[in-house]
Amino acid sequence: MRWLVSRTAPVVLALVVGAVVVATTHANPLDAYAALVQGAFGSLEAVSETLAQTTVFIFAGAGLAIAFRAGLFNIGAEGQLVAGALCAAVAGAQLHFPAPIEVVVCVLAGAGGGAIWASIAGILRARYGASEVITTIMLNYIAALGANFLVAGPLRGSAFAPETAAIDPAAMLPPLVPGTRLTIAFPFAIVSAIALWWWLGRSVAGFELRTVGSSERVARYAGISVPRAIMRAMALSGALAGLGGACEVLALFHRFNAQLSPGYGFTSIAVALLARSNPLGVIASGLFFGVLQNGALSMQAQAGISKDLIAIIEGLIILFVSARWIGARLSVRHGGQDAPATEQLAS
Amino acid sequence: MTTSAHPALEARGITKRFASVTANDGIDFDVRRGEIHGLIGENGAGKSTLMNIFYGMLAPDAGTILVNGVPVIFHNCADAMHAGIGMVFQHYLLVERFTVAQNVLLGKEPARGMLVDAGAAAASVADIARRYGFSVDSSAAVETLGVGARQQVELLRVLSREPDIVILDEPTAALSPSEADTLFEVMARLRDRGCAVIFITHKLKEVARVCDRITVLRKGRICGTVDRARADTDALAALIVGDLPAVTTAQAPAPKGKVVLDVVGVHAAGSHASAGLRGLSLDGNAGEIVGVAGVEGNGQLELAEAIFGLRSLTSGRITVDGHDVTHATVPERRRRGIRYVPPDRHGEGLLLDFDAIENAQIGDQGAHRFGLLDNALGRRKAARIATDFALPHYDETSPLRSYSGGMQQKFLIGRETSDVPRVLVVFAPTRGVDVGAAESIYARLREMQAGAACVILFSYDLDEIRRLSDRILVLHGGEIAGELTPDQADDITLGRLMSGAHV
Repeated sequence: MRWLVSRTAPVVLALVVGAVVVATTHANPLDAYAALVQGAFGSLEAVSETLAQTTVFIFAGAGLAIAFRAGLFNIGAEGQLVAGALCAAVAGAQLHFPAPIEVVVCVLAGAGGGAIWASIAGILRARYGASEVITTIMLNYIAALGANFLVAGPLRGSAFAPETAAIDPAAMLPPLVPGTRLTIAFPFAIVSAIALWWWLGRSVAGFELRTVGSSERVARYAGISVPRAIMRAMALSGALAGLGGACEVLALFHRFNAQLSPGYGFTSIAVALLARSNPLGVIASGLFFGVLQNGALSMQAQAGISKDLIAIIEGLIILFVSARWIGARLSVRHGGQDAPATEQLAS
Repeated sequence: MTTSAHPALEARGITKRFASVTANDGIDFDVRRGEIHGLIGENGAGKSTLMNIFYGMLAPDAGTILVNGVPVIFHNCADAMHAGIGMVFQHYLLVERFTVAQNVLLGKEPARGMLVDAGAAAASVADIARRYGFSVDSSAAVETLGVGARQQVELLRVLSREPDIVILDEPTAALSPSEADTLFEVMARLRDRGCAVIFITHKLKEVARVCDRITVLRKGRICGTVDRARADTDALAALIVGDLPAVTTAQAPAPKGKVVLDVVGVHAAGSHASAGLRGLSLDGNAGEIVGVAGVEGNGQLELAEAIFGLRSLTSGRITVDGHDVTHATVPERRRRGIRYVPPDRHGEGLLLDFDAIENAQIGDQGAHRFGLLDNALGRRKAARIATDFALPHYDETSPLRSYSGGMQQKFLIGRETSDVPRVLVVFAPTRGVDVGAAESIYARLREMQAGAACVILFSYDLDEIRRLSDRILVLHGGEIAGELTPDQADDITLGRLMSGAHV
């Protein structure tokens, strides 16, 4: 019970404060939330769309959870997601294999693109001690602007808009529910999150990653190569974000354009924090953000509340999750032990 | 100074329970003006609980606190400070980048308009330091200071509030003998100025030396308060543990086995203000305990880390059983049978947020098939440590943070000795642990010696070194200043070697 309260408190508080914000605009908060839930769950199509929206959050959120557990504040899921999406879109448009192989190749291209993009920050951190917070933020801009340039010029595949050519139909992920955008990407995301959770808890590499995140001194004492663990964690984290981006392309958009991600990589930071950096928890928190994302449109249409309310709630959740962490730090009076911030957030 | 008949601070019938554990059970305790009152007891005897109640961090379930004979209720530390109580904690809370003066006056900086009056701050801190005979430079940044000087900063911070009652929680745990002596002088000066001083420690010799009265706490109860005149260390030890374990001081000198560890002419850079290693050589034989003594910062940590592979050498050679391990990684050295108990169990040897099963696997985590952790082995290993050392309330799935400091240390030693190593490097193995735990740790080190391990014992506790070692090496300035047998190693000889003088 206490567990449930402590895990859901940031969400509840954020929704309450969000309701106050709605009330100040002389609208009824209950109507707003009712419209949001209706939009997310009101029909089979709505549920399918919610789960389709959830997919990218589970992938990128699980990737960030891995980085956070290694003590790395990866702020670059957005850039890694863009890199993965672009690689998957290019592979899907340029390569022509039979269906199952084509899909696998495109998915791997997405994961590889994200992993390479994240590894730039990983190597800079592991080899030269450059803060991954700074480098991943900068790499976000490079990815976004670089992708804009590529789809406007060299990789432009459409006469009407700056976007790549459509991917080979063989690369499109098959739908789970006919007539909707829900594809096998969703169960794939859930399986990936579960696999990551198991790997983190049971494998030697996962143990090494958690040890480095908990204390680099203990890691060195245990004979763990700290640079290797950091590079591995960043690559894996980026691969997951890249998978999220690839699935957006292969399942939903079937091509890459600059409007592909309205900041999913940033929202995924909240997803991972809310899940306390547990890949299993990311499934639940990813679903929550999928509901918000998908319900927002009908909230705006039916209750007349701007979908920007979602951004406010997202910000509040990060605030409340961090507040819990700050509160915990302040209450440890004279503890003397300084744990890295990300590890505190992970616990 | 008032001449009131009341004690400066008094506890009457203090009881404090945590869930099922009674940490303090009807405690009566008092400390008078102009007195140093020693408080000793095993880990978990309830000393910290009582002090936290005195300092307003915990509220007692029953009983009364009196200051100068007047009952008081503290809601927080600020109340306790206001009543004239100051406390120096075991773990220092200092801002590394700030100077000594800035740390001491943190939160009450003398102001000139909107600016901090840095000159007045430095002057007032220097003034307090001079009054109590501190040597610390008030304009030095804390990050450049050693453990002893950092403690002086903590103490200065407390003294800057002009307290009547000063509580020192295990202040000597991390100090070298000379640093401890400086502290004792300060404590004596506090006493002479009419302060009441409560001194918590594990070291019986210290209480017998500096305290006017000594109170022994066991399992949450007071076992007795004795005057210094009637306190000898054996009697105190018996009071602490209930019955004194057999002391195994006089052992037959172990037959000298073959050379296991050979360190030849090693040079290495030092951390912080330490000298590092400057062409140091030593050898260790099978079945031998080699004690390494020295003032902190004379190369002990560097030597221990160099043997275990955590510090690279600029020149020199290290071999184990004839194999050159100079450039070997930590896992390779572990495979050669080197084990290490580091001085900082929290920060280096254990993962306090991880459970016993995972902590038992630190160092051996990579040795298993298919890249998976062997939790079954970890569980068996942890359970064996718990049985061997009789860890109370052992729960394999709770994080090690929930263990007492003594239990954590036993766990660490148990893990590093779960197989008899070839070379066992132990650093300050009984620092901050109680008499009973220290005895079981000594017994384990002897077991390793009997199993033909070469034990290198680094310690700041000279009694410990004398009691366990077959040979004693004294480090000074990153070199071996001398080698002694335990019989030759009296305080004066050791002290001269430690300070760099030739014998």
